[in-house]
Amino acid sequence: MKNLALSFLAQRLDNQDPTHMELNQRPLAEGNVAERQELARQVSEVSIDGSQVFSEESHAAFLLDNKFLLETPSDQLDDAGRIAPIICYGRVPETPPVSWSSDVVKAVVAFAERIGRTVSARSQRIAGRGVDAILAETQKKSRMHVTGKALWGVGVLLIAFVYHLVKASIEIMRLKRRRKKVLRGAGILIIVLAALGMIYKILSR
Amino acid sequence: MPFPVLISVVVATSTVLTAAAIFFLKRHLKGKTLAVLGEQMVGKTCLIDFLTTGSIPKKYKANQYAREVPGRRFQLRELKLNIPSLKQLPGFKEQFAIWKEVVTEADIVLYLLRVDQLMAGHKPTEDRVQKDIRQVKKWLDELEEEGNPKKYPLFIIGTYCDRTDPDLTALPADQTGSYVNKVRDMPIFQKIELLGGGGSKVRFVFGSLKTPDTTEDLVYQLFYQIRTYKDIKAT
Repeated sequence: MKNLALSFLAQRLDNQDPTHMELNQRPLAEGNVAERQELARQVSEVSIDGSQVFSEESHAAFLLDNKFLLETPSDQLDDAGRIAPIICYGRVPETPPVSWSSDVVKAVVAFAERIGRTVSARSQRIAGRGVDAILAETQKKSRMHVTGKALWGVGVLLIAFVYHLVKASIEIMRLKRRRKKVLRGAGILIIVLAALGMIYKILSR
Repeated sequence: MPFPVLISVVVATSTVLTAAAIFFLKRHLKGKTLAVLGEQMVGKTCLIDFLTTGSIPKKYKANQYAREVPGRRFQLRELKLNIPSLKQLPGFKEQFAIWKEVVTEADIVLYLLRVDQLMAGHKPTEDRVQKDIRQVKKWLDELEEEGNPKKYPLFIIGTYCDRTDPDLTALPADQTGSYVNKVRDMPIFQKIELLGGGGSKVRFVFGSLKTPDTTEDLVYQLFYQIRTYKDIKAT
């Protein structure tokens, strides 16, 4: 089996501690408090801060950036007659292989077997759709990220263009104002010179 | 008026109006955020489903991750309730770090426990409940020391009272008081109250989440206590 760097969590059917926990195919013993708490924290981070991308019957999938959570009910119910799901936590690879979706489902089934449970073929199919939804959402987000970057670039260019346009307009206005000032100054000078000429003419008579 | 000045005035006015609208809307819709804690199989999902949908689930699923559920405004008998959101946390012990975050953020903290198991002297339940209450009390004390105390006490909700002898839900109304007194006089409940900081910091509510009717009774009791808490405190 491929190592997909997945973590698993499943409450025991008698609902007593310790909860089954596994990190990257390594069981986390009850005494390994730090790693167990960290896994619980990571799982809840995705369910609280992420968005639910899939829900069908008792299956669910959540996504936060590239971190995902897949909830798959096992065939066995707990002692209280409740559905006892298996939680799978992991990261979506940057370029997931074609088989990634089925690999994740196979890993869930393998974990279920390791803790003495089974996942029906029907549940496996629904779980597969859940993983597909995770992949689709990741790809959509990645496309949006690229589009966002492109829009950002266009926006920056637009701002630069507007900035230069405004700057040029101000410059033109300044020049116009300066021309006006020169013209006004020249006009005043002509009037003053004309007045001086007239005064000189009058005085020289 | 020159054009740029006119634009600035329009933008500034609309910004101020929008900010004011958001402020008043927030004030109007302000409710209480609830954190629902408790070990596995105490009825957290059932309580949350009732508070958010008005019904109890037909099928139960063991919850293994934290979830934030959008609340609602609703009326239960004469009480009008507004719950903007609820946070449900899984019961297994590795969740303590997340419990702390949620307890810190919530306005009201609810802790659910199984009365039937405590009355039967179930040792693992007794140990777990005492450990949880001790921990929650520690977090609440830390908040108080930081100058950010909770306005409400810790509400401890005793569930599964339909599985006790006598069955609380089958008792006539005039006998429920003596049932509650009997339970609260038990050493384990006295200890829980003490661990939670005593009568002023802990409130008990007893009932059952077995049917929609019993759940409604329990939720009514809870919100009646929340509603009247400030009045009691004032007198």
